[in-house]
Amino acid sequence: MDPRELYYLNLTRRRFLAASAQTAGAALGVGALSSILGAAPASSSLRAARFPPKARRVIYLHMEGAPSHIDLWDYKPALRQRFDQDLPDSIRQGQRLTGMTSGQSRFPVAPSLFRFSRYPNRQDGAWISELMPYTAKLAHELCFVHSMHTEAINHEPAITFFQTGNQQPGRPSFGAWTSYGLGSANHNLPTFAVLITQGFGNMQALSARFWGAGFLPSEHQGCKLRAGGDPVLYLRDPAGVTREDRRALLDTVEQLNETEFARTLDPEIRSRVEQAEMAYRMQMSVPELTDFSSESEATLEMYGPDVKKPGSFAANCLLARRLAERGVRFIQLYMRGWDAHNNLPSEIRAQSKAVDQPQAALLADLRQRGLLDDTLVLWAGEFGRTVYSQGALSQTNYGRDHHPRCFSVWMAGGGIQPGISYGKTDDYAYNIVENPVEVHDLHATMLELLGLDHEQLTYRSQGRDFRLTDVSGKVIREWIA
Amino acid sequence: MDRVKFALLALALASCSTSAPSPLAVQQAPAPEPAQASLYQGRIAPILAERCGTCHGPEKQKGKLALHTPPAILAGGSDGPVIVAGKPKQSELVRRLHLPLADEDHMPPENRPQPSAEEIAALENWIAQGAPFDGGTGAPVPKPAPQNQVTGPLVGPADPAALAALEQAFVHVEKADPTSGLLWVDFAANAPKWSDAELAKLLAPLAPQVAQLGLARTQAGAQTLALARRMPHLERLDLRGTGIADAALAPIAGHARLESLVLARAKLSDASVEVLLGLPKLARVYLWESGVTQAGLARLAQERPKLAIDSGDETNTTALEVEPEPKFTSEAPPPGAAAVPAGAPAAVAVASLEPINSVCPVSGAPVNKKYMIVFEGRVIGFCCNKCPGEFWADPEKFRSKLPAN
Repeated sequence: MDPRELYYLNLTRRRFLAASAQTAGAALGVGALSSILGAAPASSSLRAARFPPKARRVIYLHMEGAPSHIDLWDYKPALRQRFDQDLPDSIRQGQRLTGMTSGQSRFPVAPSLFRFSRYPNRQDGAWISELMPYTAKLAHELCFVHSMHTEAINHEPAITFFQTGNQQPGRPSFGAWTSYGLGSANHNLPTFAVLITQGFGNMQALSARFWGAGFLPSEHQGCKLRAGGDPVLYLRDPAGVTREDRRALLDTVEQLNETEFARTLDPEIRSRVEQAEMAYRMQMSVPELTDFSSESEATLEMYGPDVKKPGSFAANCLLARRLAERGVRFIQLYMRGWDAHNNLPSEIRAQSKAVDQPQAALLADLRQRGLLDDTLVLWAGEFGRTVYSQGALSQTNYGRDHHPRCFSVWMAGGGIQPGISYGKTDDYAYNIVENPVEVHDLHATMLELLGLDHEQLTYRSQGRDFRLTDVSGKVIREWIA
Repeated sequence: MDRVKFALLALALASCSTSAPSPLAVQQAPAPEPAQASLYQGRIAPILAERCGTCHGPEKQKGKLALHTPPAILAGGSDGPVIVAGKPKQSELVRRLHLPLADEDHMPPENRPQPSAEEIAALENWIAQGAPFDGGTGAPVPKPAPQNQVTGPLVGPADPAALAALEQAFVHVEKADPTSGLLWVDFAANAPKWSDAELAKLLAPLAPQVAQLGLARTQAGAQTLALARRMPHLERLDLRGTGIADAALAPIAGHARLESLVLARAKLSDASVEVLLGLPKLARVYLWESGVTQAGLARLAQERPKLAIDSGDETNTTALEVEPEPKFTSEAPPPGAAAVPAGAPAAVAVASLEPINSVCPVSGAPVNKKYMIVFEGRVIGFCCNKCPGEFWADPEKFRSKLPAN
C-alpha cells in the first residue's frame, strides 16, 4: 500500500471519534460501518473472517515440558507384558533420539505404572489414566487426538513450533495471530493474556517470545499477568498521582507521538500509543479482574484448595474463566514441569494432581455459564515421551525421554465434536498408525473454528506473506461439530 | 490494504442489500432437479458453467474454447478437440483436470475454485458414455453447498450512528456471520455499569440486525428484554449473572427465533418456566444458580424433552470399566513377522539390524555400528559418518567389497 494512503487510514480511535463527532450523516455512517469491518485499529474485527465462527475465544492449556501420553491418555495394555523387553527395531525404525538417551546400551520398554479406566464418551468410551480422575469424568466433552506429531525433538524449538508454526524464533504466536485476526472484544483488557504456573517436576526455560507478536504490530503480543503482587507491573499510579494527572500526561505524550508519527510513519509509534491507552484502561479493569472475592465458595471449592494460591494452576484456571467471560480472545496457561526424564511416576503424580481438578472445574464452570459453546479449550504439550525408559527401569520407577513421533492432545467446546477420539498409535505408543495430525493441521482447524481461513490470515513482512500455518495445514473436518 | 478493501466491501454491502434483486439471494435458488433432465442438462452443463464458464463461456473464450453449448464443446479450442467421446482418458478436458494443481496447464487455474472429485467423476462418466447431449445415465451427485453462501437471512445495513455510539462506548460489535448483515453485540467490557435503560437505548436502532446479544453481568431488565423480544433475528441471548427476575424476563416470551438462552446466576423462580415454554425455537437453556428449582427443571424437561437444559449439576460419570491392578511381566513374544501387515513389500521387513559386513566397504576400516544404512534390503555398516555418503554416490563401485549374500 502507498504509505500516504496508510497514513490517512491510520486514524486513532481518539481522532476518529473526534472527527466523526463533528461530521454528520453519510460520511459518519461509512466510517462507522467500515470500522466494525476492520478499519479502526482498536477494533479490527473480522480482518480475515470467512466462515461463521463457532468459537469466539481460545483457552490454551499448554503443558510445558511434554507430558507423557503413555501415562495419561494413550492406553496400551499390551505393554504390561513387555516389561523390560528391548524396544524392537521394527518399532524404533532407526528414528533419531535425543543426546540424552542415544548413548544408552538398551531401550527397555517401560509400561505405564498407572491404572486406566474406560469412561463414557460418544464412541466406545475413552481410556484415561487414574492420574486424571476429574478430567476423566468429562470424557463426553473432550475430543482426544492421539496422533499428533511434531518436527522438533527438544523443548525450545518444539514449543516455538507449536506456538508459532515454525521452529525458528521470530514468528508471531498463535495468540498474536488470533488477536490480529479477530481483534479485541474488550478494549479494557489485552486481547491475548498469558498466565504461568510453576511446576513440580523437571522444568525447562520459558521464553517470553513464545507469546510474542513477531512481525505483527506489537499490540498483539501476549500480556503476561503475574502471580504475586501486582498482576501487571507499574500499573498502579504512584502515590500522589491522580487519574486526571495520568490522563493529562497521556494526552500530552500522545500529541508528541502524533508529531513523530507524522514525521516517520513508524507503525510502532501507533502500537505504543495503543498500549499506553490500554494500560490506562487496565488500571481500572485488572484489579477487578483478579479480585476473586465475588466468587462463591462453591465455585472456589470446585477448582480445588490451591485456588487461593495466586499463580497456582487452579487460580490461573479460575482467572482464565474470568478473562473468558470478559471477552479476552486468547488465554494461554503455561503449566511448567512435565519434563520427566527421571522419576517420572512421582513427578507426573504431582503434576497431574495440580492440573486435573482445576482444568475439569474450568470446563464445568464454562459449561454451566453457557461459555463453553463458544470457548475453544486446547490441552497440549509440545511433544510426547518415549515408551522406553531413560535410565534405570524398575517395577516402581522409570524416566522417559522426548518423543516427537506421536503424542496426545485434547480439545473441548467451541464447535469441537465432543466425546470422540481421533487417530491411533501402534502398540508401543511410538508410531502413528492412523490419521496423523501435524501441528499445522491443528492450527488450521482451530483458526477455522474461530471463523478464520488459515490460508487467508496473512501478514506481509520482509517482502512476503506469512501465515501461522506457513505453507501447510489442512482443516480436519472430523473434529468439527 | 485490508482497510481499503473492507471500506469498499462495506459500501458494496450497503448498496446491494437495499437494491433488488440481490445477487446474494440468487445463490439460494434451488439447483435444477437432475432427475428430469438429460445427464448433460441436469449435471454436466451446470458443472461446466460453474467451473469453466467464466473463461470458457458466452463472455470469454480463452484459447478459443467455449463450453456452454454442445456445438462449442464439440468444436474444441485452438489446441484441438477437448473431448474424445467414449474415452475420458484421452480427452484433453479430463487430462487437464487431473494435472497437478501447480502445473501451468491445470484447469481450472490454481487460484480458481476447483471441481470436486464427484464432479470430475461425473464428467468422466459422461464422456465414457459417449458424451451424449440427450439422455445418458449417471447417479446424480448432490451438489455441495457453496462456501460463503449466505447462511443467515439478509437484513438491511445497520444504522451507522448506532454503531458509532456502541463503538464510542467500548461495546463490542462484530458480524455474527461474515456473509450476512447480522451482528453479535457484547457488553462484556464494563458490563456492570450498563443500566437497563442505557442498554435499551443503545440497542434499539440495531434491533433488526442483532442475532447474538451478550448482556452478561449487566443490569439488563424489562426494558432491554422487551426490546430483545422485537429483535426478529435474535438467536442467542446471554443474561448470565444479571440477577434478572421473573418480571424482567417475562417480555421475552413468545420470541419466535431464540435458540440459546443463558440464565445462569439469575434471580428467577419456577414462574419463568412458563416463559421458557413459550419460546418455540429454544434448543439450549442454561439455568445454573438461576433460582429455578428441581421441580421447575423437571417440568421443563418433561414438557420439552428435546431441550438441552444445563443446570450445572455435578456429572456423576462413573467408569464403564476399570483395568485390573497392572502387573508387569515380560511374557509377550516380541513382535515378529506377524507385526508386518500381510502383503507389505518384503524390503520393509529387515530381519536384523546387524550389519552383514565387518569392514567398511569404502575405507576398509572396521565397522562401527553407529553408522549403518539399508541397501537392497541388507544392512551395511561403515567406519564413520562420511563413508555412507560416498557409498550412496556410486554403490556399484563398492559392490565387490560387500559379502556375497
